[in-house]
Amino acid sequence: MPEILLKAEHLKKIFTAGGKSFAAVDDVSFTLESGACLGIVGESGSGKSTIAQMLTRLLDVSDGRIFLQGEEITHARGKNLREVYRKMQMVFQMPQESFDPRCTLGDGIGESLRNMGISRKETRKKVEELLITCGLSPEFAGRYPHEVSGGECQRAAIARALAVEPKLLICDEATSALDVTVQKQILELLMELKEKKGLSFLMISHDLALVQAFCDRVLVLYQGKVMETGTPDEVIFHPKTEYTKLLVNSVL
Amino acid sequence: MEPLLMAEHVTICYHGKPVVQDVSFRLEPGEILGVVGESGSGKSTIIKAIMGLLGGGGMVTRGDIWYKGQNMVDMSEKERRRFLGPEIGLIFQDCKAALCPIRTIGAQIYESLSEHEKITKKEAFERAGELMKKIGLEDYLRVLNSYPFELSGGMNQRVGICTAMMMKPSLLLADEPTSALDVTVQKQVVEEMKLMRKDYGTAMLLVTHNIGVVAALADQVLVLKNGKMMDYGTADRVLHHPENEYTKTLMNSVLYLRRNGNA
Ligand SMILES: Nc1ncnc2c1ncn2[C@@H]1O[C@H](COP(=O)(O)OP(=O)(O)O)[C@@H](O)[C@H]1O
Ligand SMILES: Nc1ncnc2c1ncn2[C@@H]1O[C@H](COP(=O)(O)OP(=O)(O)O)[C@@H](O)[C@H]1O
Ligand SMILES: [Mg+2]
Ligand SMILES: [Mg+2]
Repeated sequence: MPEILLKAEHLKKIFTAGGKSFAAVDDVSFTLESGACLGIVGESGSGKSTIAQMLTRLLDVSDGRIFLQGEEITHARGKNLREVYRKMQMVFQMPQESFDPRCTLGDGIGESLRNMGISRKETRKKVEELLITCGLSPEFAGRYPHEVSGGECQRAAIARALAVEPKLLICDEATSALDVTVQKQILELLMELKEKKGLSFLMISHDLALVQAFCDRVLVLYQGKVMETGTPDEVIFHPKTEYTKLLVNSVL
Repeated sequence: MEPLLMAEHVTICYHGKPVVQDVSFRLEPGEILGVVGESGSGKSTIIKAIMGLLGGGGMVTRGDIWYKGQNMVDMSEKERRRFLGPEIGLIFQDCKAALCPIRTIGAQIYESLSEHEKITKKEAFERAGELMKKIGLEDYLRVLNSYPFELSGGMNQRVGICTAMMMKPSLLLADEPTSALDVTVQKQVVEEMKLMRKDYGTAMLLVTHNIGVVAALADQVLVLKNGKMMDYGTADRVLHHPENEYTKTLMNSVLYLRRNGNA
């Protein structure tokens, strides 16, 4: 039996806006096994990013529990949270926004290594290796975020996420802003990392076709609630709910 | 027969630097031409050039663009504006930006309709409401009484689509009309565009990076890369049997949904 890497139990997030409260995420549970790829698919506003932010502790949960390798991390902070980030990293939609514009990509990629007390020289070597792994030449270490294309910046963001040798990557619309040919290259890179490094993925996307191509299991989200889960083919070939049927039929 | 719209060897420059080079195409009445290509390939620039919206620094430096036999390139801004509405409809990627921020949606729709035909406010609202319902704006009365800032991005986009469609133009220039919309809404808009062509014979120049939308609508497809024409032909040939190397790469990168065993 593969190890259960990540487990979410009855996650809930209540937001209050304009004096009214609503559940942006409502009783969401799932497990992610080591080496697997779980997709979360849904339209805008369905709560995908809110889930990602709760898992990575960028947002507090309103209710529910989160476990990483069996240990509860629902309220992790400080040293414990740093431990969490060594196992779990995140890649966002807008890579340019996730790098400090005043620092080189190399500084950004090496930051966590330096924080771990690794020497400057070692860090530089590791950054070069990471860039190569992600399909960029080492000279990219000296470039600034605005000096590279969207696809190159996303590769650098993946390199930064990989620096701590995490077990799990949470990708929130990581390829949505990229041209299709670039998206394909990035997906191929992620696929390679999955196979070679046994990395696990939580792929968050509005794109059902992407989830079908990349994930072993998928969770369909609608207005914060899980509509159904299954393998992509189960869900796409035999949708059980009206909403999933509509979603599948809407894809051109 | 005279084509509705024809571009002949068009080159467009910004600050003297060509961003569209030697592009030619023709569009017959009722025909849909999809223009596809990656970001920066010059898609939006072509639509802007047709309507004279390139702004300072931008200019058609070679070639001609003909609409119903009249050269749009030589036309003054005032002459061009005459075409907007019942002749040529425009949909942008960000329709909100084209809406007036301080007037209600309903007032703006009524105004643009009454510029071209005799119509009461009530009739305008009814007609708008009917179309809005079909593209997922069920609560159309609220939409008509709202200001743009009170609506979501997707709702404003549909308002823009609705306004252009209500004029039943001969030609619709649409720049990424559905790119910011969820797929369920995109599907509704695509269905309405099909009906519009069927019912009113509207021809469309449909610019998008979304190959799925083009596959669903276009008769002809033009592929752009770095401002140059890579491919131009029937949708079936370009999308499903490409010969050009770049078109092949592009089509191979598209992720299509597999349904029940077949592609
Ligand atoms: N900080 C916040 N305050 C209030 N509402 C929020 C906040 N963040 C997100 N929301 C709302 O929660 C819902 C889910 O948002 P999100 O998780 O970003 O959806 P998705 O990523 O699926 O598009 C939306 O209705 C959004 O407007
Ligand atoms: N106002 C402008 N000034 C200078 N260059 C521009 C301007 N608008 C567009 N460009 C350039 O023209 C090229 C084509 O842009 P555009 O037509 O917007 O591409 P697309 O719509 O295919 O993404 C790009 O290289 C872009 O940077
Ligand atoms: Mg999101
Ligand atoms: Mg554009």
